[in-house]
Amino acid sequence: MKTKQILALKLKEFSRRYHFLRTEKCLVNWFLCTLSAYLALLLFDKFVSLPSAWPLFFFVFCGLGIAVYLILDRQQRISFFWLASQIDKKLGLEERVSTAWEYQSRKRPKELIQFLTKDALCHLQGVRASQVFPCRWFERGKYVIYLLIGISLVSFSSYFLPFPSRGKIDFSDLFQEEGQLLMNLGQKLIRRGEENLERASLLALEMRELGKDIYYKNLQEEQIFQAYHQLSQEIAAALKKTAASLLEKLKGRREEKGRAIDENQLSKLMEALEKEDYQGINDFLQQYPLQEQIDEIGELQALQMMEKTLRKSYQRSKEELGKKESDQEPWGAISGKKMNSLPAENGKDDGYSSSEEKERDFLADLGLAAGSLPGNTSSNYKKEKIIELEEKGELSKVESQLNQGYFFMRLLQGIADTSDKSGLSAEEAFFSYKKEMMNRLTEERIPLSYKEQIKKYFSSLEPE
Amino acid sequence: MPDQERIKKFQKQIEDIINEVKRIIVGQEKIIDEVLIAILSNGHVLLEGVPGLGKTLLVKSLSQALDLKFCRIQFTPDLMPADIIGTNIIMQGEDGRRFFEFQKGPIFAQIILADEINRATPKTQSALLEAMQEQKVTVAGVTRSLELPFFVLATQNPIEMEGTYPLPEAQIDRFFFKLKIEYPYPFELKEIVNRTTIQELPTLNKVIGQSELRQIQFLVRDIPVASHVLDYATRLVLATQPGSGSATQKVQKYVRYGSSPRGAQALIFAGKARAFTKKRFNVSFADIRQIALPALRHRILLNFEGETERVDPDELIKNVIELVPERT
Repeated sequence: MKTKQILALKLKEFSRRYHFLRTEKCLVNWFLCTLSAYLALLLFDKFVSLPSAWPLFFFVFCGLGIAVYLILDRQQRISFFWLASQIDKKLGLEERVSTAWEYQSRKRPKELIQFLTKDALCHLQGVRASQVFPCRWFERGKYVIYLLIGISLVSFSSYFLPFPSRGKIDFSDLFQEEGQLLMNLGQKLIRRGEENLERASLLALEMRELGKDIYYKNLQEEQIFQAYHQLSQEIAAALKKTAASLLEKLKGRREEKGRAIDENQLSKLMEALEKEDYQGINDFLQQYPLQEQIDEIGELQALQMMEKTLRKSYQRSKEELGKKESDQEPWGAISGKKMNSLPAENGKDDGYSSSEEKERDFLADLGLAAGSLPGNTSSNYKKEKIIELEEKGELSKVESQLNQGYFFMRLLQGIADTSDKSGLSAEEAFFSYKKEMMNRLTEERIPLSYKEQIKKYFSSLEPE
Repeated sequence: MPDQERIKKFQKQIEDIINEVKRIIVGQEKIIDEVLIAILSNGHVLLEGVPGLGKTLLVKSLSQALDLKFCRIQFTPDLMPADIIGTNIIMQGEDGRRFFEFQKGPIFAQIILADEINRATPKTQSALLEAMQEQKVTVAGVTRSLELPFFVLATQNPIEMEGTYPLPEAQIDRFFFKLKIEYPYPFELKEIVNRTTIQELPTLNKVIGQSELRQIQFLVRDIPVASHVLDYATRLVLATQPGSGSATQKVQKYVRYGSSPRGAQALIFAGKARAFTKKRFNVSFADIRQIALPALRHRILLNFEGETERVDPDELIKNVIELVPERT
């Protein structure tokens, strides 16, 4: 009889307890906890750049968890105390159960509580202690349980809730590494190729800017890939133009008399240029160094290096994000099938790009060790490599080569047949303006969409 | 850490004390219980009853059962404070030198029966009441502690009011309980006559020692009280205060001053002691209700209307108990 009465009372009490979530108290607690968690996050964000919006949700849900806990704890204490007092009343136990329950739940140790509990149970023969004294869940492991609940909630919510845009988007460290890499390479090329590498230095400026944007997280994920795409197109165009210009010069030189260059080899070089086989050109130039004489070669090499770096960076980013190769592959824009078929992408061994050895040689030619450029080790590549190269002075080799190009360009300028009466060719004027534009874009705060428009405008003016 | 066996032993001893006293005192079971509750709560008792109802016998029996030093002081108008607390008297040593020596008064016993306390002058009364409160006496600048446990059981005669000095309210408030001794029932009276006229009264056995009594007093203080029981006791006390807002209509009408916080303390202390005597480890609503009358009746001061209409404070307290719910 007693058991039935107690169970009936418990059932009534449980049905009453489910109202707790609708109480004002719960909402206020939740709000306060969430607010404090959010403020703590903001404060934390001032000192540490958070990698993603994940912690925000984590803290919010933790706040929610704590609030629910407070409510539950209070409700549990109140309602079970009420239940205990009802048991006392109905069964005439003279407040034995309620007193014992209260002192147990408040954790106020009293020596006599154990005797009181025994005494209460003696008066409830046939009734188990768990039926009279409700179990106190979440004793010591309650915080762990709440943490797990919080993590579960975040995990579930990440599938359904979009993370809020906070202007400053958190990307993984990968993007930062890539940004730093592009920034460093761009900076090096700008520093050493101010005059003789017009196209390359402009694009290096763009590359540095892109690197900065990525590094400082000014771009979203999609924007980064768009920027990669656009810059790769520009590099491809510059490569075409430089190759065409080099071809023209080589044709001119063929007609010159008394050149030491082998006619057959020159034909091969021209053929490679026509086919846009840049690795073939490199191989050829290793045997017949013409860099001292033609500055387009230095520019071509710089552009190739930029293209390669950008491509590898793009591939690594893609791999890290787990994206599959899509139609938006920016490297399709670069002419020449061999440029598109790298072993990292499709694993085929076609042309120079299929051979890691050739690639290493080519990079060594540029003054960079094969492993120094990103992409060779894909995802496990570390930015420390660049620092290491800088320490070893290998990057300075590139710079010295570029300086050689600069010197010979000045020399060629001096002996060139300058038919332009103004003394400044249209192309030079354009590049000086474009460089200034790039500087402005870099230094000033201009919205990204405007930047794109400005770049497009200058691209449209670029002489063929 | 009290072990269960020891607690059981204490509870058994309490039961034995009651049984032992009952060998002498016929009836008056409630009074015996309440006096014992007051003793366990370390409180003093004001006994009110007509002469011949066994007040002195009750106190004497208790002192025997508890193995405490007993002393009776008959209060008269010419009784001086020094007669109670003692005085310095000049003594002569063997070498002929004279010196002062403190001669302890009857207050230096452990159970004091202050018979007809309202017959002494207020000065003498206050001397006793100071000792009750402080459990110390100061004579000629020297403070002396009284031996513990120390209880005062004072009696008042409600019939003869001529030539008496009624205790002021502030001093009455210091009594833990005020007990009213009623006439015995006919069957009890018959038994009293039988016992006292046929043979001599038996000598009571010592049931408990002083140290054990002190231990029980400490144990009683440790008995848990649930918050709703505490709340109930507080509401009862507040309901006796006319200006509190929770006072009953009768209280508003007839009471000038309600119970002081000492009343609430007395309710809880006495509740704990009662629970212990009933072999429980918690205070119940019933405990509070049962001891509300002795704990509060002397703390309620009637107004003029109450005096003229001869309102009994007991009726007011019963009314309060009736109207104040156990749970809010």
